[in-house]
Amino acid sequence: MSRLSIRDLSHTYPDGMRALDNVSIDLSPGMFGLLGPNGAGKSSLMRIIATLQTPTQGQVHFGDIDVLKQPLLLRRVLGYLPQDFGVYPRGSALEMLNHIAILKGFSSRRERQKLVEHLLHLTNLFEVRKKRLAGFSGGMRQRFGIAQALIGRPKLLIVDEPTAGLDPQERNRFHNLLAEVAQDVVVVLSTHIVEDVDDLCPRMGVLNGGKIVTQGRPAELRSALAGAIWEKAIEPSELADMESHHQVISHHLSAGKRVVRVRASRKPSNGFSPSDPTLEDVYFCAITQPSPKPGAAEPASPPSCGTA
Amino acid sequence: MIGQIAWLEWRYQMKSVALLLAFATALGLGFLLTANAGEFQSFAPGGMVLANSPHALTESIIKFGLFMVFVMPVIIAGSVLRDLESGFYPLLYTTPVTPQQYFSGRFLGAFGALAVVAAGAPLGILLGTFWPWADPSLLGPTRLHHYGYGYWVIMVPTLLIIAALVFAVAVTAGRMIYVYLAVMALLALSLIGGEANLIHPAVDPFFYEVFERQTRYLSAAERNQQLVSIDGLTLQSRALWGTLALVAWLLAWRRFSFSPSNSAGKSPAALPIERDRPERSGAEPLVSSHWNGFSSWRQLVVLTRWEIRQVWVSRPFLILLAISVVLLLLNLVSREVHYGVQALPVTRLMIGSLSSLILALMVVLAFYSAEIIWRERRCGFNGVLDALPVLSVVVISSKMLALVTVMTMIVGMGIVIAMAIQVGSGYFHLEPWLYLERGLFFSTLPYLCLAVLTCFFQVLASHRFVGLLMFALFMGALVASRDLLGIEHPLLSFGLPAVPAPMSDMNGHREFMALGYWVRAYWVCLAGLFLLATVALWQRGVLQPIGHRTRRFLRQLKLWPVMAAGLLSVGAATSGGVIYYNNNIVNRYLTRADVEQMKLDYERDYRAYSQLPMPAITAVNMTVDLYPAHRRVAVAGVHTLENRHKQALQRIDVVFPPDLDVLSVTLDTNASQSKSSDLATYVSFDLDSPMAPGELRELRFTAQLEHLGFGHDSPDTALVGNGLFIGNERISPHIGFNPDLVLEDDRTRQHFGLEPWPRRPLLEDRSQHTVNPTRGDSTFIDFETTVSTIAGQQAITSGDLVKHWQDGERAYFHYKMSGPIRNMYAYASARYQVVREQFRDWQIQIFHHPGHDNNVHRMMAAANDSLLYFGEIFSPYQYQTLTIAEFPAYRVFAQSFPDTIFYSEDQGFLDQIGTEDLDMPYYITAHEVAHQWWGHQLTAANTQGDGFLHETLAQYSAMLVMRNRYGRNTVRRFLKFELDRYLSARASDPQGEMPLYRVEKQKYIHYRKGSIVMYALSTYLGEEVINRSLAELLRLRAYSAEPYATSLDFLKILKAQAQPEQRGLIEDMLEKITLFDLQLQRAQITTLDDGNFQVTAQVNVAKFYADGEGNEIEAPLNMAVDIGLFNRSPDASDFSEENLIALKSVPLESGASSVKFVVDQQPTFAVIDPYYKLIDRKMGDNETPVTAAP
Repeated sequence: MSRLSIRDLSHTYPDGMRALDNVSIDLSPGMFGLLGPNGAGKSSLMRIIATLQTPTQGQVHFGDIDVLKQPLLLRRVLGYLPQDFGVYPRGSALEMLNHIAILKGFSSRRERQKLVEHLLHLTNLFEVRKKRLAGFSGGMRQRFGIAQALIGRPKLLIVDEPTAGLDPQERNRFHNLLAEVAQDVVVVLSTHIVEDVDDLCPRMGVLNGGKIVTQGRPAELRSALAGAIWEKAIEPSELADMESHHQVISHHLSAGKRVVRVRASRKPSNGFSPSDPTLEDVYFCAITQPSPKPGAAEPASPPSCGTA
Repeated sequence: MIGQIAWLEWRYQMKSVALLLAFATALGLGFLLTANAGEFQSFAPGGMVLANSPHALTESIIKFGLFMVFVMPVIIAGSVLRDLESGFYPLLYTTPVTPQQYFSGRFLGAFGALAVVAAGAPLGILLGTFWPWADPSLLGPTRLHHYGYGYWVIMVPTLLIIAALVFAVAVTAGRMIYVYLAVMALLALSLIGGEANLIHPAVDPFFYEVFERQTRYLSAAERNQQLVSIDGLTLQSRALWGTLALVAWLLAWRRFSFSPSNSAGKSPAALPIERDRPERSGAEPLVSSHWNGFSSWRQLVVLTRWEIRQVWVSRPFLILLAISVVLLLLNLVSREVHYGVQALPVTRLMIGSLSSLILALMVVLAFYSAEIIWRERRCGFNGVLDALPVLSVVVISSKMLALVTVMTMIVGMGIVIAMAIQVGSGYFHLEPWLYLERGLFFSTLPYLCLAVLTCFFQVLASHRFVGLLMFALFMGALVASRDLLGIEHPLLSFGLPAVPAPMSDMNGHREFMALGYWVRAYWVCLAGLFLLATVALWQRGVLQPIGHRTRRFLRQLKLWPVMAAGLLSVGAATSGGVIYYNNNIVNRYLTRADVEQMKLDYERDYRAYSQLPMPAITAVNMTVDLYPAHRRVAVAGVHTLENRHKQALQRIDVVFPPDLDVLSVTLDTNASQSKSSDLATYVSFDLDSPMAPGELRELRFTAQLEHLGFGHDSPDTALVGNGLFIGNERISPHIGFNPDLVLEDDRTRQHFGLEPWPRRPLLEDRSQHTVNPTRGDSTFIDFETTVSTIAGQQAITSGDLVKHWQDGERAYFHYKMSGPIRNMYAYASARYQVVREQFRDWQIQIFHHPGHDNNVHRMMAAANDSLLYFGEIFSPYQYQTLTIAEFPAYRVFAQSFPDTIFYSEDQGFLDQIGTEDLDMPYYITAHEVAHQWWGHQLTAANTQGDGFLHETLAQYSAMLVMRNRYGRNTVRRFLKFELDRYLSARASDPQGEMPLYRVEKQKYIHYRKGSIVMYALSTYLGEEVINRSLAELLRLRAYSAEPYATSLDFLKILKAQAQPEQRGLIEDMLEKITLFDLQLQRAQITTLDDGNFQVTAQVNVAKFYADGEGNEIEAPLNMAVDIGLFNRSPDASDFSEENLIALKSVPLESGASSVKFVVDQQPTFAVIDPYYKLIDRKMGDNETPVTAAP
């Protein structure tokens, strides 16, 4: 079984924006959740893995395939669902899936027909297979997206923010589908919804400012923070004061009060109560780390947040 | 509110770069029109019309209006589509502005911006007139109100109409492509409006046809002084289009709402029924992908089919096809050759008509290349497609193949339609291979190459509009480089300009195709390289800057593109090498500028010798060997020279024609010769013993003319495999300076600082009365020749065929002329079919291409009728035979040589004469036969008026023969054409109109006006008077070179023959430029007691004399004018002589008169001058229906 291995990947856009900074990840089959705020470089990373972008530096290997040098070989085993995609003004789901199946190398008409039908059933699109794709709702379009990505049992599946804009029911259905196919396939799922990762991914990573600031198993990452998360309900006006004295990783409103979660190795002050770390804590903790200055030498010490 | 929206929109548009560019272009072009008036010949008014005259100004402004449609999609349609396309509309549509306010405001604002752009044109024209280098001779005084009138009265209304239509389409359809199609449809209407005979000129929305119709007959003087007036036609056109535009605009305005589903034309997303039910994910079928060497091919096929479908089923494409079909049908159906006569639908002509599909091909290659390249990115599907296991080269190839297929299918459809029309009109010689080779392959391939280039530009530019702009610039450079930069070498062409390879039924269609094929091979190789470059720069996924893509390509360079590029480069170098070798090494590569320079050098070096006395040629003996298949003519000539001067001659200059390779040239006397050649071989003999007066000497020469390989310019169509036709001026020498070789174009001469070349010497210049108008070096010669050609072909020239023999593969013909002829003969050789008929005193033989026998009987009848009648009224025919021989359609004319007429296949052999058509083969044959008298028996002197004696008299004679056979109504229809052609050509005469008797090579006078005037004189003076005078002229001047005849001779005889009171009329007709204004205002009928009818006609008449520029002064009219009563309009197609009830020649004086008729039948139409005898620019008011008296 093939592993995805990303080595020292950096990408700088022509305008000088550094999207990726020395990213290295090793992935074995199973679902990998890639978390990160907007603009963290998730999509750039996904596109690079999906052969749609050439990085300025670094290596990507999938099994024996050098992704950057042999994109065609990778594409033959790749399923890719872009962050957002459009469809042709003409053509039904059936036609388009059939078309893509041919391009993915399914030349026997009978086999292809079976495959496409299966995928239509799988994504619950069979009923509407003859309708114009352009008229599909967001959820249906997304299901079509996953259907096309799943054509031909890809060995590597890249899914870029697939649940954005889906209602909870659709999202659920989508997750089940993904979990089902992700048995012996490397799946990279990018998202900014922590819950998605928690539900689905045996492994995860957090990308921030072009760097992987944290990666590991969600449970391990959580346990690494055990005993270091404290919670306190405060008046909204106290927030600024709190932020200047403690490492506030998140705060939310609860019954009119503001509840702050603070990271500290021991109890920060009165009123704080210990709290079980959630994956959200892991995430917020990772992205609130002061990012290293641009051009700084490779960080010698492991990220302070979590265990890599 | 509307005002504010309009103001905002206007301000927004005024800041856009596109608008600035458009304004600058309009300003710049307008500026060049006047500042460089002399060089803009296509735009320049021509003739004596000034560059800033009201007429030129209006015409330019109308044409700018046409150009303005190209910016309308951006400015007018963009003002609403911008919000839809950018997705900004939800923010706007939710503001408190009402849809109708938004609609009107945006339109007004955008139109305001357009009006500013449009003002660039008149402003530029005005600026140009003040520029220091502007040629003052082409400019008149500045009158600002002319500019204001042109802008406000002509331009703004047109633009408002077009803009309203465009805006309505944009709002209703919601997509830019429909706007482009609407614009194309409007342009097509304008083209259709140009078919003036078929359709009312008001259908042209740009007003050009109306303007053309209105000003068609205006003289140069009027064009320089008068603003175009608002007449009925103008109002009709404006009312038609104004109403249409208003209705469209109002409909769009009413329908417009802020729900884009409605206004954007996109149907609301048809949400399929979605049932929530448990997923049913059965076992995945065990299938797997297969990859092998054919996978890419399979993908290519599938993708190409997919791409073609995407184009083919789209509605805009269907509309484009519909417009093209209309244009094509129009072109295919109207194959008018001359005088309303249609040609047979031969495949060659049908292929020519396919050129009307070029518009569609250009739209496909400019618009669909962008569409097809950017399709996935535009609809956002690229993320999916780019990650599929398909090679980039397969993706791009499929897109290009789709373009190629679509274009081929368009032309293919055209071919099917053309064939259907052929079959439908009963013509079954379809020549499918010719369609495939010339129609499909030869003419479509260049556009396919251009399509590859546009795709390359699109990928290179990474932006749709930048790519389109690059393509537009490239096309502009390609088209303009020849005229503006003098770049003519085929190696610097790509797809355009077209390589001339004319077609002919006689000579097949392959003669001139070598350059075409090599150039196409060269273009295809270049296109292949562009394709590779496109693949190399193609970007999947995220678009990267071009430098990045280039580096990536170089980094990942693979073997196959390098090898392919290598092969293509070798191909391009080979084909390019062949082209270079043929153009520059086998042939001499000369640009038009080079040829001009050579002519100037020739004039500078030798013109001084034109005054030297030279001997005259008195006898010509030519041995001519024709090698049609090798495109070679070898000549050996003996010319007898005679010193006709009173002094001895020391020097003899012999000038050979350009291109002729002179092998030897000797005089039968000791002489030293100096030879120089650039334009032509110029040999100067310095005689050891001077040539005494009256002495004869023989000039012997051998020479050859041969075409090897191919050159870049229009091919020499004289030397061809079947249908070779070459005149003596190309193979035999001229004694002394040959004035025919100088540069005659006035503008070019002016550019080089030379005085204009006189069109004709003055009529009174007696020194020219003994000079032959075509050959200054000879008067009449004895002519004998032996001509050989390949076996199977017949060689034809003037003279009696005294001997014919065959020697191996060569056929020999010995011709000898029985009497003296002008030094004018030609040779033709082809595989002919011959029709011979022996009449009383002569034999007529017609040599024609097998199959071209449709009209041979008409020619035969015309020739015999003419010989009989002219022999009767003028003088006997001077020969025993008359030969008519066909030559290929490369050149279209008929020319009369002594006893022989050469006749182009397109000048009559293919005419399809219907029962209502003028029998043009009959007429043209009669005209050419008449030249045996007017030209060959009687030769005019080298002065003004020679065209009258040769051409006008031939027209007159032919009209008599036509009248004898077909009646005067046929002559009337013929004269109607002649009148139109004369009147519409007057204003474009560069040096001014001449009276008929002083005509200076002005075809519109000696042919067109000549026909009308001579026919009028023959009815006013009596045909016998004219014919007697002509016979007298022949008696006096036939075969006379001392002096030759002049129009003064004819005038003198005619005036002596005519009644004294008719002198004024003769002077009006021949010696002055006379125009009439005849009007039949009203005709009223009353029934008399005896059952007869009395008709009272109110007429108004006037007469004007015009000068060369067309300035008129009124003169008293006092003459008889025909007034006819008819019971059917003479213009009706089924009008016949029976419909004439009465025709009276009524003496009239200037002003209004009333004329009474009493007739026994009831007339319905009254017409003044119904038979087109008097030149009247307003023929419309000559006819009126007869109404009951109150």
